[in-house]
Amino acid sequence: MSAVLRIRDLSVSFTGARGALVRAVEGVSLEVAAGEVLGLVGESGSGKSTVGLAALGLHDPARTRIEGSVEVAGTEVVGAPESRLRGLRGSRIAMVFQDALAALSPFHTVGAQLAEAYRVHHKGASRAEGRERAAAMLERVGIAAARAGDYPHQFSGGMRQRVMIAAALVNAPDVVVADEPTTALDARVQRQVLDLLAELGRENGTAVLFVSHDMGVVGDFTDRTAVMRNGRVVEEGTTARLLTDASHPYTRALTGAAPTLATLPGSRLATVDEPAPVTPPRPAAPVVDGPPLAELAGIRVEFPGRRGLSVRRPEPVVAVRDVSLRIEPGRTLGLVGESGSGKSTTARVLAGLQRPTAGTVRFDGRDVSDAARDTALRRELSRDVQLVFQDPYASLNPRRTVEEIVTTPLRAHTRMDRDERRERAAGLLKQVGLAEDRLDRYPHEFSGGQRQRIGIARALAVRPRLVIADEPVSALDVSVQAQVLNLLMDLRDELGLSLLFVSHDLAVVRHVCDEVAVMRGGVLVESGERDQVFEAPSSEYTKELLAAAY
Amino acid sequence: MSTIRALRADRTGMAALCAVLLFVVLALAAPLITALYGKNATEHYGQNAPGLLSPEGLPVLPNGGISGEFWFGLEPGLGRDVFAQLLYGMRTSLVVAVAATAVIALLGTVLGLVVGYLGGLAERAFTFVCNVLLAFPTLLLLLALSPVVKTRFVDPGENEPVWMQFTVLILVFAAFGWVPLAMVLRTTVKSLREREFIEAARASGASRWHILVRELLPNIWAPILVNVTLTLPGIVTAEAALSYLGVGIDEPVPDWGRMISRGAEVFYDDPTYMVFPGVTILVFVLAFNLLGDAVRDALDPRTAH
Repeated sequence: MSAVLRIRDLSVSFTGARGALVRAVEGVSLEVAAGEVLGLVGESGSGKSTVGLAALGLHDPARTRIEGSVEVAGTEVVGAPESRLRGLRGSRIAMVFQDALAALSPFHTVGAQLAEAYRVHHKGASRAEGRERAAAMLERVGIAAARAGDYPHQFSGGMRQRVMIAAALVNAPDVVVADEPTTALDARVQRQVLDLLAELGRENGTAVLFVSHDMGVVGDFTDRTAVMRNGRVVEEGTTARLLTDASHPYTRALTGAAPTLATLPGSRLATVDEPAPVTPPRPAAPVVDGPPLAELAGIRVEFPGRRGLSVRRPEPVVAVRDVSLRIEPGRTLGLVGESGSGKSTTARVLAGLQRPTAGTVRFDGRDVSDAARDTALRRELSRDVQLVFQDPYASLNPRRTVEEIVTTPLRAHTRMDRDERRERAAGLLKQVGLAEDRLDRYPHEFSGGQRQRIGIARALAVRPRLVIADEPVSALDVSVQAQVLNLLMDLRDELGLSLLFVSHDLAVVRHVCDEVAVMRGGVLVESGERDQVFEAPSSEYTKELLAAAY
Repeated sequence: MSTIRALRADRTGMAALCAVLLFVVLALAAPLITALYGKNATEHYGQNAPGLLSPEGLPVLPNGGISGEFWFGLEPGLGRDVFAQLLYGMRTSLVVAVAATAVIALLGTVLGLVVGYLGGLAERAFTFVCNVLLAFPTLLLLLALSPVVKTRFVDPGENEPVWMQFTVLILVFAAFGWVPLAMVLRTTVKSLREREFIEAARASGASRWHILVRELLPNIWAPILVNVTLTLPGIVTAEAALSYLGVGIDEPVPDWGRMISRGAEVFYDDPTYMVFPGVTILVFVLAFNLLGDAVRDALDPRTAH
C-alpha cells in the first residue's frame, strides 16, 4: 500500500511574545496509507492538532516556521504557494473540526454549504449539480435530503458533525484530518458518528488522520496509533499492541487513565506521574440506617417557553419531571444522562440555584425548596452544600487571585480575619495538591487540571457536608481527568463527604459512585446500587448507554 | 501587570502619556511658571505700557507681538500675555474635564453595574431614561440654560460667580455624559452575569454586594478606563466650544475657547493669536485620544501578549 499522507521530520515553531520561537512540534514522521485510520493521541499541548493543521498547510506563514516535509497524494505542502494549497484543500485533503457549530456558517443552509464545497473544486459544475451532490452526500451521512434547506443551528450536535463529515467527503478526498471530531458529543452519538466516518473511509479508500486525547475512542476506531508528548512522537504501532503491550510508560498511563467498565471501581487511576498505581480495593460505602442527608421528592422544573408570533401564552418547557432522589450521608450518588436529560438542572435544584416548579427539597430534614428565591435560606444552605463546576475556565473569576477565589465561601460564612483566611487557603491548596506559594496567582496561570483543583479547594473551604460535582472532569484531558478523579475520591474518603456526582460518562460514574441514577428527557429512568445498575440494568435505555460506553 | 508592560511597549502610547503628563504638570505648576516668567494672566500689559499695541489695539511687533518679553505675543485689544493665558486656560479646561469625567465614571459605573446585574424592571426604566437623555439636544440646552441660571440665581447687575459657572458646566456634562458608559457597562455586566464564575460565587453563599464589588467590578475595569480616557478629551473640546459660543466660562477667567473666539474676530489682522490656542487644544486632545487608544489596546488580551 502506498501512503497518501506522508509526513517526514516535521517541525513547527510559533513566534511567541517578544519574538521568541516556541517549538510545538519537533521531528514528527508519520505515514497514512489509503483506507487506513491512524490515531494521533496526546494531551492538550502535545502538538497533535498542530500536526493536523500542518497537513492542510493551514498555519499562518507570518507567525509559524515549518520545516520538514508533508506530502499529500504526492504533492508537497510545506512551502507550497497558497494557490496550490487551495487546490489541495477540500479536494485532496479535508478537515473535520471539533466544534461543528463554529465551523459551519450560521447564515447559509447546510445544503448550500455542501454545494459550495463541491463547486469550489468542480469549476464546470452547475448549481443544480451542486445541489444534487449535496443532497446525495446528506443522504449518505444519514440526514434526509429534505433537510438541506435547514440552517446549522436547527440540527443537533451529532447531526451537525455528520454535516461536517459530509462536507469533508463531498469531493472524495484522499485524506481526512479529523481533529477531536466527537469530543463534545454524548457517548451514543459519538459512537454513531465514528462508525459513519470509519464506514465512509473504507468505502472510498480515504485515509483518516484521527486526532484525539482519548485513548479509549482511538482504540476502538483506528488501525495504527501514534502517541505524542511535548511535540514528539514517543511511540507508534498497531493500536491493538499499544493498548495491551505499550513499551512507553506514557502510553501505558494514557491507556490506564480512563476508567472503563472493567476497571475496579474506586481504584486509583493511572496518571503520567504514576503509570502503575498500587490500589487497595475500595468497597462501596456502607448503607447507614437513618434519614438521608439530602432528599428530592417529586421535583418538577419548568422553564418559560419561547414566545412565538401567537398571542397565546407559550407552553412551558419541562426540564425535569417528577424526580425523587436520596443522598445518604457519606455516600456518593452518580447522576447519569446525556445532554438535555435534566441532570444538571436537578443538581442546581438541590444546590438552591434553581427553584423547582413543584416538589420538595430537603436537606438534613429541613425543607429548603425555596432557597433559590430566599437569599438568607440559600446562604444557610450553602454553608453545608458546595459545588464543583464543569468548566474550570469559566467557573473561576479571571480577575481574582487564587486566594480570593478560594476564600470566597469563608468570607460569606465565617468570621475569620484576613490572616486566618489566608492560612486556610494555603492549607486547602496543599490538600488539593497545589503549591502554597501560588496563592497570589491568577487563574490563567494554571492548567485546566490545576484550575479544577482550585475549584475543588473552593468547594471544600467551609467544610461542607455535601459536595455537588457537575461534570467535574468532562472538560479535562483523560490523563488529567484521572488525577482529578483520584483527588476527589481521596478527599471524599478523608473528609467523609457525601457527593452528588453528575456525569454523562458511565465508566467514570461506575468508578466513583456507590449509587447510580439514570435520567433521560427529564425523567428518572432507573436508580439503585452501582453493581445492580451496571450488572443488571432494568431499563432498555441504560442497556443502550452501556452498550455505547467504552 | 501585563497591561502595563503592553502599554510600555507601545511607543505612540508612551509618547501620548508623556504629553498628557506634561500638560498636567504645566497646569498644576502654572502659578510657579508664571512667577518665574514674570507675567500674570490678568494684567493688561498692552494698555498699561505704551508702544506695545497700536491705536487699533493690534500688537506693534510682527507675529502677534512675539518678543523676548512676551514669548507667545500679546492679546489684541486688552493686551494680556498669551503664554500666561494659555497656561491658566489649561487649568480651566482640566478642572472642568477632570471633575465632569470623575462624576461620569462614578455614575456610569454604579448605574451600569447595578442595572446590568439586576435586569428586569430596573433595566427597562434605565433604558428609557438613557434614550430620553440621548435624544436631548445638549448644546441647545446649555445655550438656553445659561441665561436662565443667570437670571434665576444671580442678582441683576452682578456677575455670575466663578464657582457657579464651573458647577453648571460640570453638572451639565455629567448629567448627559454617563449614558454611553452606563450602557456599555450594562451589556458587559449582562454577559458576565451569565458566566459560570458568578454562579459559582452565588453557590458558595456570596452576597449581592460581594458579587457586584468583588466578582463583577474587577472584570469591567477595562471598559471603564477606556471610556474615561476618551471622555476626557471630548469634554475639553466641548468646554472650549461652549466658551466660544459665549455660554462657558466668562471673563476674566482665562479660557481656550474664548481665546479662539477672539482670535477669529481679529484673524485677518493678527492670525498668530489664533494659532497658539488652536494648536494647544489640538495637541492636548490628540495626546489624550492616542493614550485612550493605547490603553484600549493594552487592555485587550487579543492584542496584548
